[in-house]
Amino acid sequence: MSQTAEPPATEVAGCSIGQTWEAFWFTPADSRPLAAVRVAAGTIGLLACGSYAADLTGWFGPEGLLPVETVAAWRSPLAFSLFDACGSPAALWAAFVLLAILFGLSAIGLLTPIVTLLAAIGWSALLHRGPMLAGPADDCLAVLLWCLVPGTAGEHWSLDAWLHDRLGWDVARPRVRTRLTIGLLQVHAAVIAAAAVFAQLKGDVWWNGTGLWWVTTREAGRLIDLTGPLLASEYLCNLLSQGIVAWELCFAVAIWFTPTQRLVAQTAVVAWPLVGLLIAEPIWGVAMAAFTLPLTGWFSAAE
Amino acid sequence: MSSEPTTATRTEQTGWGEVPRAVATVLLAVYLVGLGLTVVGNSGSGASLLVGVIKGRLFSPWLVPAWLDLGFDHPITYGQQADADHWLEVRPHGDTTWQAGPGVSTSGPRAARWQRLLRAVVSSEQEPGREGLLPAGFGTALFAACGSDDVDLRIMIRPRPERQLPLAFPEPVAIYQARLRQLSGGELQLIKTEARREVAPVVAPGGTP
Repeated sequence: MSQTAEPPATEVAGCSIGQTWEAFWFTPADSRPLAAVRVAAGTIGLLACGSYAADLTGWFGPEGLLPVETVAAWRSPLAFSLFDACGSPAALWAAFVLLAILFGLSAIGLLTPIVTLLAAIGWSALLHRGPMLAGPADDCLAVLLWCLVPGTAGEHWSLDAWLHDRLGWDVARPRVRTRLTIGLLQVHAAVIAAAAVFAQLKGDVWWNGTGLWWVTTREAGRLIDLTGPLLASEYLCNLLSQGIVAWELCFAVAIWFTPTQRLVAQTAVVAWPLVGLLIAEPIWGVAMAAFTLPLTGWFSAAE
Repeated sequence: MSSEPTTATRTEQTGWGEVPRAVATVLLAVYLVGLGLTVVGNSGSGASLLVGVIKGRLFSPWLVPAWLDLGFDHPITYGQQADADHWLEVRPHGDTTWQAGPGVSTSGPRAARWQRLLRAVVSSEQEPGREGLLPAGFGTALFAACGSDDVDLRIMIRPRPERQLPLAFPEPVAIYQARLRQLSGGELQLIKTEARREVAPVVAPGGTP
């Protein structure tokens, strides 16, 4: 009678973790979802540039509020900015317009691998030129851009794809690089949501339901005025405040489980922009939605 | 004509080989550790000195330039005065009337950037090495705006109204005020005006203020 030796439990667990890791990061994936993220990131970049344009020389010009020496003394010694070298308004505007063009090229998908890398470098440089001006949307856009760099976001719905088609090059296929990028987007989306929850739970206002009230009473940057409805109904204020926290928590957890992942990702495409609108950070909301696009299943290749 | 795909194509279609996967795994593990440390170390969570040193020595040098050394610390609001609306007012020194400073009549994401700038001015007063740095940097721009080499600037906030009817906004409060002037050698001098409540009362020798 033969006996089969069963492997120890630790070995099975280690093997399972290894397989999960391999499957998560190294299974070749279709790049259509990344194309959607690329279009979104390029558009968000243009919107973010728009919020800088009107005050560009007022902040960073030779007679601006934020001289290079001041910012260099303020920011981390490890930081540097290519915009520091723009000593005249003309040079500043040239660099800024170039960055906006890079975002435009990213959105339409021309020379995508190079353009994505240059856009990430340019955006980081602009943020380092005035780090005290940067907000949550700027952080998320930087992460989005760097995540796209190793991926193959230009293989579909792009001028690159159109040119490849015209030249008869068949370059689009499932790739590990694409899977790595999608994995990085998923990790960052969950981390950002979880960190936001922890930050909010440190204050009383998100526990007692007045968080959204305090946000709404800020006029600067506000897109909709909810003070009337929130005053009229305490329940509505509590519901929305605690609903935002609950959504962030739900997102950070449920995005990791197969049965809930697609539903949460699809909900996120609507929910994050709504949260962004409520908390006066609309671009942040759109950027968070962009992180989840690959997980919605809407852009997968037809079987 | 060979029907066999090239080695590179086959590898790309079936996945990476052992060595590239191992290298990618190490790089991913390093990055994910760095990501964890930035969240733990930058979010005001009271992280240990060890976390700060490890992050600062090993991870910050390559995460900072790429704008990836982020805590993602987005509380949105703590319901505190620091979150209230800020705006800048200026005047030539000696004038009695304050003028609205730049950025007052903005809206949307643009206004949000002005808010962050002014909050940074106020909060940096509590940060060693950064006190007065930003307002001093405003000098050239404010001198041009006021047509004077000696200006007063102040940052006002509108305290939050309580959630009750009728809605009543409390009076604006000056949260930061300073005089900024250019000396004869071109050097800038910032003289911060302390709020009255922050100055200890003078006590006369007899014990009565």
